[in-house]
Amino acid sequence: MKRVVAVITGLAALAIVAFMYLLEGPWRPWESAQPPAQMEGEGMVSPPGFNSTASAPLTRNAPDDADDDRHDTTPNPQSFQFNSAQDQDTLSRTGAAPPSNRTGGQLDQHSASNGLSEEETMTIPGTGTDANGQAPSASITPGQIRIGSIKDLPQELRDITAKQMEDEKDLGYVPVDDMTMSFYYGGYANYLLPPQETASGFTVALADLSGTPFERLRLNGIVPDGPSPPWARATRVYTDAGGAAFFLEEWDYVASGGGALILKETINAQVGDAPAVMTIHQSPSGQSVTNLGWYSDRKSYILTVTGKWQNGAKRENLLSLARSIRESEPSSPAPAQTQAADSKKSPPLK
Amino acid sequence: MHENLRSKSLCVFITAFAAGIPALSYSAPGFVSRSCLPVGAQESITVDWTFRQDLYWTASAHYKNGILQHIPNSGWSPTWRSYAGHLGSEFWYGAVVGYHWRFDTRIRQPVRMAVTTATDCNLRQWGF
Repeated sequence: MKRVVAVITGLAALAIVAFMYLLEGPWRPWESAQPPAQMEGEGMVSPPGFNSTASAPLTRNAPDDADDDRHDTTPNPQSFQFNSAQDQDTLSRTGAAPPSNRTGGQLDQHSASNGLSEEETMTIPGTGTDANGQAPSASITPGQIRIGSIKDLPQELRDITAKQMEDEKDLGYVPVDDMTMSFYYGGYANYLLPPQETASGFTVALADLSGTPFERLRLNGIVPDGPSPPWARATRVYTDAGGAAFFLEEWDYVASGGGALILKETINAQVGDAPAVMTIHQSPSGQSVTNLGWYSDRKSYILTVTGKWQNGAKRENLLSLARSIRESEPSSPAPAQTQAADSKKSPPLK
Repeated sequence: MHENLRSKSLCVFITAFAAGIPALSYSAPGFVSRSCLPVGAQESITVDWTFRQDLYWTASAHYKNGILQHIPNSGWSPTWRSYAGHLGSEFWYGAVVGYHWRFDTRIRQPVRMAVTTATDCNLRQWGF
């Protein structure tokens, strides 16, 4: 009897392994029935119009296509188009974009029949269309941050943005749900990792905060963007002696193939030379946070602090804290290695 | 004899799981695509691992034998997990390309977050 159990156990284990390899392994007999596909990289099969993740070079600030014409009317002639030496970097990307001339969000067989091109630019998805049936939304190019207008958004996002701004004007904040807010009021502790555990797990080079006012705060740890590395986004969590919690989120949008559109109507602050957006969120239970977001030529920063910091000295302190952030070089070590978790406590940063 | 058999079985068992564990280990991000014949899944998913709600939009382009079949999308929805695709109905291994967008309400900006590709079940990426 024991032999039978042992044999069955062994066979079951082998079956599990065989199943795993069927799911993920390189050998799949049924693949031979498929037409030959172009092999790229390490066995990666790319559909037509797509490059594998490893091989496609991406030069930032490549010449815009015709779809970008509508974005040329930025409020500032400098238009916040980054053009540093890093722009010549050759970057990997994780795929290609669908045609930008499709109806926003309506990705259907029609647009597919055009063949997914290798254009970098992607129209902001949405279901709204203008009178001509064309998507009114703007497009976003990987590695680029642009300034546009609310009018460039698909209708549904336009409505949401308008409602939020109206709420903020009427209520003094944008209503959010309690579950989301709970993250900032202690919930973050469930995701917090000690800095030493995350030191080598990031693909984003975290800003060097030594010598900045952040050193006067207590670094509680880092919230990465997933259960295990590599992480492209990280949020360092600080607290001051007054109980306020500070969340500095950094994301290497260039390496992630990401990009964004800053809406000129929402710009209400400045961090260094970068236009910034400050918002107040509040939950039904009365908990609130202040968000401040801006971009460097490689990363997006969102600094969130519990409480309302949009006016007076608090606003200046928050902006001052943001301006103190110096972006580290991509090759430099993460500050998690250079800043101890138990930094000394300080008076509240109010 | 019994000892010998037990030892052999144990070895097989340990070896089997040691081989299987790497395929199950999670590696990361809030974006995933998968093409998975055994469960009929062609899908792309965007996840906020801290369960904070925001506006997400995910699309999933499904290829079979190199030919694009369709590109279902989630539409914009307030959620911490945005899903586009089919489960239990598309039994093939092909290619899936996922498009992951967020309207970050903290800063009122549409953000193109990532484009993901997969040609297998991609179990190394969690993204449930």
